[in-house]
Amino acid sequence: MFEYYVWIISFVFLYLSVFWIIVFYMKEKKTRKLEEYPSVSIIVPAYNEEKNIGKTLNSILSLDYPVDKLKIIVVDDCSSDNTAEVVKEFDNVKLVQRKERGGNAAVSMNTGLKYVDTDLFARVDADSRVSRDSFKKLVDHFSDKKVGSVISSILVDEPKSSLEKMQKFEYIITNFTRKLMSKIRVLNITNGVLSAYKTNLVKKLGGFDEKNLTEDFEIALRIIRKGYDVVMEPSSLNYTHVPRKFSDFWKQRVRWYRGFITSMIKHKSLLFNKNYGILGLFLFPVSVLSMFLVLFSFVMLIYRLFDVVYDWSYKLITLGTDIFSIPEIPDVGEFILSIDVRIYIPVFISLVFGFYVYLKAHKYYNEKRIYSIVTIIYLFFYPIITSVQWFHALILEMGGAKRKW
Amino acid sequence: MVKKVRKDIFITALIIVVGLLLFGFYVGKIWDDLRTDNVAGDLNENSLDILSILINEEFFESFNTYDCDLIDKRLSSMSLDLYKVGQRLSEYDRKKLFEKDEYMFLKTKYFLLELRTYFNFLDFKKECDSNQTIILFFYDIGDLDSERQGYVLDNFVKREDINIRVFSIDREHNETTIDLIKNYYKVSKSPTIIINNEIKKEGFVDVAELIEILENGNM
Repeated sequence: MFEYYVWIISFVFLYLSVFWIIVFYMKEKKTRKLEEYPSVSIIVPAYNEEKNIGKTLNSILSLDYPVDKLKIIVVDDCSSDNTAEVVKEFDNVKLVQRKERGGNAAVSMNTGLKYVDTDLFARVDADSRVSRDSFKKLVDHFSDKKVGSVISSILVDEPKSSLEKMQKFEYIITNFTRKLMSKIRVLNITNGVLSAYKTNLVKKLGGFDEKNLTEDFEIALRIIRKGYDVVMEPSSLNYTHVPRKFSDFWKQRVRWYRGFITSMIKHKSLLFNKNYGILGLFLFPVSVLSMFLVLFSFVMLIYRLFDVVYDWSYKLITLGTDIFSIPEIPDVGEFILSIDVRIYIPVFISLVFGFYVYLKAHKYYNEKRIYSIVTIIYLFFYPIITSVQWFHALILEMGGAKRKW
Repeated sequence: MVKKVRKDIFITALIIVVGLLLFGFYVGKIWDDLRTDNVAGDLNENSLDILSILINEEFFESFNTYDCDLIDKRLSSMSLDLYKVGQRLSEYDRKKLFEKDEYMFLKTKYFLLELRTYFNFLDFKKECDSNQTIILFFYDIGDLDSERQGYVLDNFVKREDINIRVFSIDREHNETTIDLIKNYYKVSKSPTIIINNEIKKEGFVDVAELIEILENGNM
């Protein structure tokens, strides 16, 4: 049974890798430049960000963009620290202080949206840093009337711990995949680090979904359903802090996966819907299938663990401590022949193609450190952790656990 | 508004993936061939050894002599080789992708060689009054008790303080000679072990019980 599981996983993984490699080598349509820069409001939702918000605002104020066309709105969601005081030190920044705690970024974004009177607005999270030329690169995409939102590349800001470095690799792959999705106009997510939206469109859509744990994903789905595209400007590089502690990382991921589940249920009519082209007929079904495969991986992981423990227990009961004797070392020929090719060949082929995508992604983002131990841990252990997090998210959603940020 | 689907991307990806998977199956086929060739080569060598031992024994019989040391060395070395081939064969059989008939043929050959060596050992034990313990072990694939019995016997083979030879036969393997032996020993369930052609034990025999049998039998 295990080999069938490996074959299914390998087929899906391999197909996706090959699919994205083909897309990577496809010609890209050039973006037409806007004749003049549009006016933009940048909303910064903040809660207890006194340590980061200064840096964030400084980076926004240093943007290479006409000052008279840029409006900055910070929405403080009843911070208990000095976030508001730090913001007040900045001229040209409008501070909106919520009277009641909203509890999530969607509430703050909707609050900020009330003060937006520009053609476009953007979201920048309070723990992020935008690069000087990032915004100019984004806005040109709005020359295409069909574009409803433009997102940027997110890179991890100064990763130190192994966990942060692993997330850095993950973000690079994610950015690269999003770049490819954007190329064929099937991108279905916006992000909080720097995403720009058409103001009228989002207002017509009723703003951000305040009950959703991943409002940036959910709003993208509504933009798509309204007939607009979400695209990415990969050369617009922006930086964010990622969870340093494993417990924070776990919470964040479980929140994301719960958000994915609820958004997919809410927008299930997109599935197999030919009106949405590749997105409806392929990427959405594959996303849902991938979720089930990841969950199935968790079941297989438990099954394999149980199998090993059971086997060892049985040997232990049967033989006592004799099972700990040193096993005979086979010669090289015997070892090679004993390799279970039913499992390792599909895994090997998939890994080669996966690794090719991985290398291309790192090359694109000029990331040279690819051979470290962290990469190996990322490739082999991260998927295991992810499968457990998905399972945790599913259990919480099925159990109706309260959706908290 | 309906979005256009670029079917060419999907079809190209599918062709490439199917090509890669076919390549994978081809490598799997090569692997299976290499494995069966490897085991077949070893079994052929064992067949030659058996033939040589048989001629030795006929020679001794014709000239009314018997070289216990020589036969002991040759049989011991052969049974060890067979034991290793058997382990490899069962591992390869578990991991095979194709070659079902080839594996069946190799297993038949292996079991027959096991039985041949088993009878040689019994002759040797009688002729030379050897204290070696000879066990014929009948197992069923997928049977938990057979698996446990295998652990115990494997463990005994590896122990240096016990002089034991084990010959394993798949009880359900369809072969006339195996059926004949099964009928002779009245083997009806797995695991069954026949110790020195004298004691028959049905069901799982644990380490302590087996040691007791060996000690009581002064083996």
